[in-house]
Amino acid sequence: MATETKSLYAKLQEMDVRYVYLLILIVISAPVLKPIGLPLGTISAETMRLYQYINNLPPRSIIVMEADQSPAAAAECQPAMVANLYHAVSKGLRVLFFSPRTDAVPFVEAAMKLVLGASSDHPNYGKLYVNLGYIPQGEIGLAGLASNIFFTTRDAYGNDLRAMEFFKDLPNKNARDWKLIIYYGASEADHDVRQVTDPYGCPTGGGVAAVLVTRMYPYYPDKIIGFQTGLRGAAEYELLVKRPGEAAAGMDAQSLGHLAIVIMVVIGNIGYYASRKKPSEGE
Amino acid sequence: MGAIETLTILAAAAITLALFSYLWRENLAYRIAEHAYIGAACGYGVLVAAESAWRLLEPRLTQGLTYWYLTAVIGLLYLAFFSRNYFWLYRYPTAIVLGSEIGVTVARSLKTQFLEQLRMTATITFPSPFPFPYLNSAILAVGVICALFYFYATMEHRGPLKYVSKIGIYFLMAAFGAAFGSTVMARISLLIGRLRFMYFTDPAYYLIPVAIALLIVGIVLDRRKKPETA
Repeated sequence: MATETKSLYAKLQEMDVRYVYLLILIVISAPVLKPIGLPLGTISAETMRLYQYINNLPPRSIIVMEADQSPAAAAECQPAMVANLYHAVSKGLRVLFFSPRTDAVPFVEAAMKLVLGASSDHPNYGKLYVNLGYIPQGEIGLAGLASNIFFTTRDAYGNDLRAMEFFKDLPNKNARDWKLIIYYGASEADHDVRQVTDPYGCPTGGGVAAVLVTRMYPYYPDKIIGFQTGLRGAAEYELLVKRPGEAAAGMDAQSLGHLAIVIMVVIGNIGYYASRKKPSEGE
Repeated sequence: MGAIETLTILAAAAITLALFSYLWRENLAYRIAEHAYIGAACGYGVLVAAESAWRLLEPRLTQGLTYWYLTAVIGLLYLAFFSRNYFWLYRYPTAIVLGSEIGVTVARSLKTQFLEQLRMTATITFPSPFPFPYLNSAILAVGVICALFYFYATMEHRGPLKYVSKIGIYFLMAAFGAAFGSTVMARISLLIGRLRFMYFTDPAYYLIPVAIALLIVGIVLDRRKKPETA
């Protein structure tokens, strides 16, 4: 009986895909458990521009942090938010938080507790930091907030906004008083450009999931002045503010994971072309 | 660490492992975790939305602006969705939400996403490497024209025009490739986030050997079943 011998390429194509999952798990786990310190390379222009813009803002300028990260996008966006908040706090800026989605609400609280050590019970809460909580209806909610900062009347903890020192010296009580709105998430930053940047002249920034980045470039660098691309952008920002955190720690795994996937894509393509060139039986 | 926090971390770790178990194959643990996640997310979302609606409504009602009750009534009409007889009432809040969304979005989209994009594309200058100061701007111009021409169906793409269209598809493929690379980066980031949680959060990591043991048992049971089904 003749035994059919299969080529290596054929064997690879028939390989159980679960071995690929296992390989990725090993490749990513190893640097997570024991970081190897791969260099991050040069800081991207997008991250640098956002950093420089925030760095040049005078103290007590208002930046708005829009937490639109779902739990799925939080791994990428949360480190960016934390790094930006740390920068804003160190520069003495005022930060206004809100969430256009319900499942992003806890991430604001988590970022405040991590950077400030407290949220509503922080001594500067109501003076430098205000959390508006969930604002419903996405773009409509944002448009309402941009046109009238007291649109919600109360913060996430039920405090009256008009009684807060944060809002006392604002001349316009709308988005003209904001110096920057930073979008964190994976949905779309277009609505910030539409409802805040174009009508009120407040530029947009971003700490976006990498999957969204191609939708940021059409507005960069004019309307979106800079943004952090996924975990890498967050890691860059962490290095700029000299506070390496979650993102910087994950970059070794990110680099090796990409390397493994690139190698598999190359092998897959070589196998595909090799199997195409192979003459079929009878030829 | 309190008992509640310990239980929360253990539940998060167990659900993480149960969801990852789908990579081996669909199983009961994955199903339970999936349904628990959707149920919890839905319940939490409803609670936050209701609390937020009350936060918006209550100050206005205390000011005596009683007509704001109307918003609550209109909102409650969403529940008519579950009634066969009164389903038509559900259309009113839907129409109001969709109508206002379109009203708020469309007019500004025209400026932001169409007119401004045209202006930006025509005027933007990207910094280019020395000694080609206009290299990136030239690539942008060629890419925009060729990619747009690829979708121009009024004329047959023959002769030299075929090459314009072909260059356009290459630009589109490069854009899709970049999007794919970004997606891979996003998914790896998620995995890194979960792995860091599993490896470094006490007591989440105690569940890793349990999960590995369960996986081995599952694989062994699968192997034993296979000869019978063959």
